Amino acid sequence: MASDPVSSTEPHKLHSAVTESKVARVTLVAISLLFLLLILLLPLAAVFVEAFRKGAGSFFASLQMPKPSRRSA
Amino acid sequence: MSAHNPTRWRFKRPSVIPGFGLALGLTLIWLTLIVLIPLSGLAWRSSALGWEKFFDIAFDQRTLSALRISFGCAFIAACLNVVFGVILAWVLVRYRFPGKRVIDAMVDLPFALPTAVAGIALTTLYAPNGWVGQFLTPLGIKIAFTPAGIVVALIFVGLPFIVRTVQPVMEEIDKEVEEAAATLGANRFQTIARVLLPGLAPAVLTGFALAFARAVGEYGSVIFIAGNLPFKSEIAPLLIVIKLEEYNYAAATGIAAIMLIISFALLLVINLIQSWSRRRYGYGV
Repeated sequence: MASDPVSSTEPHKLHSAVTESKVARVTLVAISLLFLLLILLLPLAAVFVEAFRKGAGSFFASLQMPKPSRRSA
Repeated sequence: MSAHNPTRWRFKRPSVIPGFGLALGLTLIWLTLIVLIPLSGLAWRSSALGWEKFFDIAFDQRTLSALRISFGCAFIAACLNVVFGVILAWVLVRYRFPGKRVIDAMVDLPFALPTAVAGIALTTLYAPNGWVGQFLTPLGIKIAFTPAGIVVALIFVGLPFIVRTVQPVMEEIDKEVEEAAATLGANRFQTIARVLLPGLAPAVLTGFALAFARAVGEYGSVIFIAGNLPFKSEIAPLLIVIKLEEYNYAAATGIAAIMLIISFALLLVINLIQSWSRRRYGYGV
């Protein structure tokens, strides 16, 4: 098979037939990441930012019910 | 034991589907309790209206525009979700990139997050002074408090349906099919468009139907971002709630019955297309 053009001395660029080109892959990943950022990540981030707006203290304070009886005792 | 002498011992011949009667009975009772009785109650309550008043409600301008907004926005959102959801599923199944596992886990979050929270979060984001909205306002694009905002909220709630129905089917695709297509001279684009996507069509349609059906009935996330202007951005479920708050149960069930009829007709059509495409292209059948 010495005369086979593929296995000649010059390194032939082989790319898999069952995947896309590098450019296409990067583009698709970029599209899906951007989509997720706008639809999913930023809303979730907004929830956390709103929750911790007044600091972690008020976040935990809002989780528990105030108990006035203990204070007066 | 019974196989030795079936004539003398007269064992009951085992059924091909053991426990069929019991299983069918349980299924029908369950379905009746959860789906059929509430739905027939709906039909019965709205039948109290009489045909004339029913059609008055059905062809009321406000009802018509609410239905148009509900179904139109749900359709647009489901279509966008199909495009981006299929890309996302493909990326998650086939490629390797940092953060892939985290993203894969995050796709389910819209199921878990209370829809009202999602609605408020999306509103703060896409409001004219929000993180994203402030960049869109100078361009003249308004998302929050318009039908576009409804579409955004419906994309949020519908996304996991598409990704999670398409993803497992994509994982099952045999690489040999793609290799065969490549050896026959198809370029990558042709392989995807002519070989892979037709086989994925039934799963994509299932995801579309689920996302669409969910979006049509969605209430919590939409009412915050929609602005709820009658004739402009008022969805049909909100109109039902408004009628209920006016103690107008007949009108509320009337609108609900109309929504149900349209939804059922659409899902029936989707199912027919699906069974056709499954016969024609589907994997594994």
